[in-house]
Amino acid sequence: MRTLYLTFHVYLAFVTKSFQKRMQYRVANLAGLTTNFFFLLVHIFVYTAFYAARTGPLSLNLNEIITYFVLCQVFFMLMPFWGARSEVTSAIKDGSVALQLTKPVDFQAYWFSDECGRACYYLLMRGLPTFLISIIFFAVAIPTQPITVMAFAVSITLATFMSAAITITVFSFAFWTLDTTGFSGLSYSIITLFSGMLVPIALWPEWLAHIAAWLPFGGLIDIPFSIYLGKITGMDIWIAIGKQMIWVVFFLGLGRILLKRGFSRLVIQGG
Amino acid sequence: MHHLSLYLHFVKLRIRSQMAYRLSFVLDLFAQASISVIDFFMIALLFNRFKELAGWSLWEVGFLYGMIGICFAVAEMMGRGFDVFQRNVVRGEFDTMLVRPLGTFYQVFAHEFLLRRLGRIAQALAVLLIANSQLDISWSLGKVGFLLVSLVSGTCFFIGLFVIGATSCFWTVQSIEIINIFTNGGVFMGSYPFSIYRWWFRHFFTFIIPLACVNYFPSLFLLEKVASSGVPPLGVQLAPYAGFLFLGVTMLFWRWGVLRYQSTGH
Amino acid sequence: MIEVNNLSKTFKVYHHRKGFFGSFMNLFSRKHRLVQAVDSVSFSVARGEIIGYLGPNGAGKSTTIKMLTGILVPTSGSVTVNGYIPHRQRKENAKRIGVVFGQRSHLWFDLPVQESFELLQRIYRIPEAQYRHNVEVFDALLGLGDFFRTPVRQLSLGQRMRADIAAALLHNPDVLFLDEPTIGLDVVAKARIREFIQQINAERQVTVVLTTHDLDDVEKLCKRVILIDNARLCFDGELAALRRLLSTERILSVDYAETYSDISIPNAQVIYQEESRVQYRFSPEAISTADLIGAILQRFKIVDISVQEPDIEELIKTVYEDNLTLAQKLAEADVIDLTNRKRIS
Repeated sequence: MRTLYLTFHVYLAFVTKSFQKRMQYRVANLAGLTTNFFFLLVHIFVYTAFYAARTGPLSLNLNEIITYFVLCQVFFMLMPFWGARSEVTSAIKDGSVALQLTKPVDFQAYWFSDECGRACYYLLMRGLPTFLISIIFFAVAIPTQPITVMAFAVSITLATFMSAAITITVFSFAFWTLDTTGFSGLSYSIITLFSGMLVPIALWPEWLAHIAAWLPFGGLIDIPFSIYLGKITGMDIWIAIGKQMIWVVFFLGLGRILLKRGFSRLVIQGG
Repeated sequence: MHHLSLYLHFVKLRIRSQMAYRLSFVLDLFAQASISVIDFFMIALLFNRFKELAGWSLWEVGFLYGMIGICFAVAEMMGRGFDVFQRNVVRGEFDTMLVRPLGTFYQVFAHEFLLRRLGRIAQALAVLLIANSQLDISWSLGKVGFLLVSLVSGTCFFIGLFVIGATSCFWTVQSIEIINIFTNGGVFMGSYPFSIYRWWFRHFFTFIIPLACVNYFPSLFLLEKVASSGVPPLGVQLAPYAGFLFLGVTMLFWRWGVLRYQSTGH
Repeated sequence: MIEVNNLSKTFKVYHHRKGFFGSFMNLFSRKHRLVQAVDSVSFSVARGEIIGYLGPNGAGKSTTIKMLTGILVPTSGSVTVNGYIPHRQRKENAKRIGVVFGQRSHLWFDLPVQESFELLQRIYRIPEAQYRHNVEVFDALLGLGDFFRTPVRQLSLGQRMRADIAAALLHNPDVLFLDEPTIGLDVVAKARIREFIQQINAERQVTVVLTTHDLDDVEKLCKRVILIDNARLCFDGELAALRRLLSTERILSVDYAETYSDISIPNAQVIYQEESRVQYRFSPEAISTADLIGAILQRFKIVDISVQEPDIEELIKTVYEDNLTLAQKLAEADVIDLTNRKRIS
């Protein structure tokens, strides 16, 4: 029990360190906040114009759409890829990541902790201000049921874990390819598309929404936000959360295998 | 003449080194094009649900999208040196440029050439051509010229944005991400007709950052929407020159910034 | 050739607060302080001179070089190189100077040396005959042929440095700025580069400004040195004079014909003794070398005698390692009048 506690303590330290590391970038964070609002505004303008000319009812009304995109910006930085890009992948590319093998920590757990620290930072420094300012300026729906709030909290945490696990998996390919920009760019596009970040899945044609339901990426955006908006209720909440859990485990496992292969490749070839 | 032939020589060298890993290059080209296809697919999805946007059909919006997409991708291809300028400053490579008998603006411009943006250019061009075939535009020599000038000017506009971002590196090596609002954000917002934006937003992106002049005003003219838009016709005719003016102003900013450069390590 | 008058440069340095709370505060405000990197430095260099521009890390050496080459704009004071003001007439100046920074290459990383050279030929518009002649000469002196077709990124440090120096001279500059040209090189490579610099200087009358940590470079190449410490110029003169000024103490070694029991001499301190071999440390101000030798000859029989000049490397090192700044040390020794330093040189 004690060793378990100590182990946890070590990784918690990584989370804190990752958080602190990001505190240095003052200008970048302000710029990021501004960017959030810019994209939020454009989305709202676009959807307001689209809704003005709509015919027939839709599964999301304009208020819900606005809330949806506010949430998108609040949790934007929790989505995959926004942190690991530079440091870890360049360490993989130049082979210096091999040094990690000499440390008595699990590399995936270390990386995962780092990603979680990043998520905490952005939630607090970017997400929270975005949310508070948005409440003032836009008609943001706030959930009233305690169960909704709780379920959302669990779901968005799982989304964060899934995002970290996906990031690790995708960037592990840096062990095999020299240049990951093309690959990661394409993965990013596909992931954001099927997460529902660009256009809510509720507005998609049925056939495509069907495909999305079978893919894991809805767990990043679509599931938590639908819970928030009260579109998923009752037993369905637990089914959705269960689905997220399964995908988190899946990506952690996949990432683990890739990293293991990657490291053994590195050791054999000497970088 | 010397500058032009030297520039072409630089580009030749860049292209050669990027083609060195041919497979990786081709995959990248393909990835780039796919990413942009997804981009436009999103717009198509919305039109599938909503049919029209402030009086614009899917392919009219596709025309807007194609124009701004081409301008941005060409700007990224040619103005790459300014886009990644932060790296030059950190590595001290800018010092090297300063001891060469060539202008700094010219050298940074000639320093990089990102051939793989061809994928994105091809996709944007394809959307523009499909839009054209769906729209039945009555082309004249004047209109073709107008389109070409608009595309060149729009490219200059985006290069100007990269120049602003690069110049800011002289003060802060945390390159200002705010420029992304105008580059990536600009492409996103420029993919929709400007009439959907609130007046203050629209005015800012017309008179301060002339994004509307890249594709919206030119498209009004080419798609014969000037009368219904309420935009003064003279403004529409002059719009394609805004990009040149913008680039000129950013070049002055650059010159001013270079004099304040503080090299790394004393 | 080079005229520097009251040249100063001040940098703004931003200050980051540490710790959790501090980094939070950094989000809202940043403090800066002004750092004086170069403080009213004046000197002039004549055509064909090789001068060593020396000083400890952070003393302001590189900043001065960057102002002379047009990279940095001075805060105040004036510089002219070849009659040009480097930061105002940067391109004109650039045509007539060659620059080598030891820490990083000026060549194109992914191009072979030859293509880098050809690119430089285009950039500097070097006539074909001159280009070919120079490549031939530099190849003969530096042995560029071994790696002429190798991409710069694959070169060893020594090869890269040879290529960089040759590249800086392709356009026949009047002045060559060398910032740490031998850093990290082995003895053979260093010797080769020094020889080359000497030869180019002698044959082409190229003025050379050399900053270095390696005092061997200085001893082999420079008759004149300029010392800078804490942003201020603290010595400008001949290397021999510097040595004289810095070292008031010398060492005299004697091999006596037999082993004497009492070998003490007034005004000289025995610092080493092994049988008949003795070393004295003495200050020329307290006793002249001739008097000391006279005193020894009066009392003892000797086999061999020699006076050693102190090793400049050792001397400067002790000065830098001292808490005293070099300027203080020199002032203390009362050997240099800082206000009149030009007269001394």
